[in-house]
Amino acid sequence: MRQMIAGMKQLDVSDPASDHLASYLYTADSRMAGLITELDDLMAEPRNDTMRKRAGEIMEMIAMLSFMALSGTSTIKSFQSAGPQIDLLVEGSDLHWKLVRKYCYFRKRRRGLVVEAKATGEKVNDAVFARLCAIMDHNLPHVGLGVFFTFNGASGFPTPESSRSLRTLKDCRLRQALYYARTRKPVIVFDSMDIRQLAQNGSLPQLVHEKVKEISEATGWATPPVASFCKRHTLPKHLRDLLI
Amino acid sequence: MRLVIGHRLAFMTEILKRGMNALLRAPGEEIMPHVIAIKLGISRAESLAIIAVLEAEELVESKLLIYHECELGVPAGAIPFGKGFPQLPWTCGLCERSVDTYDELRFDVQARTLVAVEMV
Repeated sequence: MRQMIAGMKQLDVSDPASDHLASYLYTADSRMAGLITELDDLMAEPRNDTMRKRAGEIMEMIAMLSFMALSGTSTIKSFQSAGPQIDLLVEGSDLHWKLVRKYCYFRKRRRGLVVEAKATGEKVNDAVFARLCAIMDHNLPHVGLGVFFTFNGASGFPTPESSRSLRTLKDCRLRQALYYARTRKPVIVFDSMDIRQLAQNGSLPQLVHEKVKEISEATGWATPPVASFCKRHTLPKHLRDLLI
Repeated sequence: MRLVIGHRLAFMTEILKRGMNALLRAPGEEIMPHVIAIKLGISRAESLAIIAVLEAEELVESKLLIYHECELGVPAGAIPFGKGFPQLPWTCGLCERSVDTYDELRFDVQARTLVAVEMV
């Protein structure tokens, strides 16, 4: 493990070779798969208040286990501040965390990341997205990344089912782009497809890396499964034919 | 196949490139980080970075060798390199026991050249 991390230090984060070594920054917790199944079951049926509360708790548990399993994490907090409720505040301090931060495109001198878990049947709306941006600005100026854990994603984001790329910026996706342009702090959204992959070793840093890159690239496609990152072709047919 | 290193691996001097080319001169050559480290006089971490670059360029096929404490001298299994550590529980290919902790496992990386490679 130490050798993999030290090997990664030799490479630039933009080098595709760093993806191979970054996969060793995350070894999924053994409890993750069971929680994901339980969340899937809870979200599949009409829910009463007890089930909604349980779904929210499981979403927070998944978020916490995933960042606990990320190499370099040193502290995880969840608290009701004098202002807003903070679902999870994750920080690290060692060389591993430095590499995580570099690979996930945090800015220098931004030590932590903040997680907001939303286990609702709806997409996260612009007001909720704006609230997290405001918390990062006013309450947590030292964090470098915001992460939403959701089941249905956020409004304005491309969905995995869509057969065409989304070429408009609107709702949360617009706010994400504007906030990133203004502050250089990425706020990313995990949906159920992404969350299901968190039981797989190596997935978390690569998902974050891809999602942060997508803010600038704006390909308009949903994040592909980690297993097919390398095989993804967003090329038009006349260029794709050259690969065969 | 020529592989332009440029600034990708800052520690690669011309001498190291020549040494590496000798290890990659034909398809089917097997390389491991400790072998590269000894032959070139570099660290294992630097050797791993070289293998990661070769793998990213699809010039080698590499795997993560898994050793179990039942027989540490022989790999008990292998999975593709760059996909994280094996999922637990993992079944040892030698003693056929189900392993549910990484403490019982050791790892190494092995790469096999798919073509002759010349680093420049």
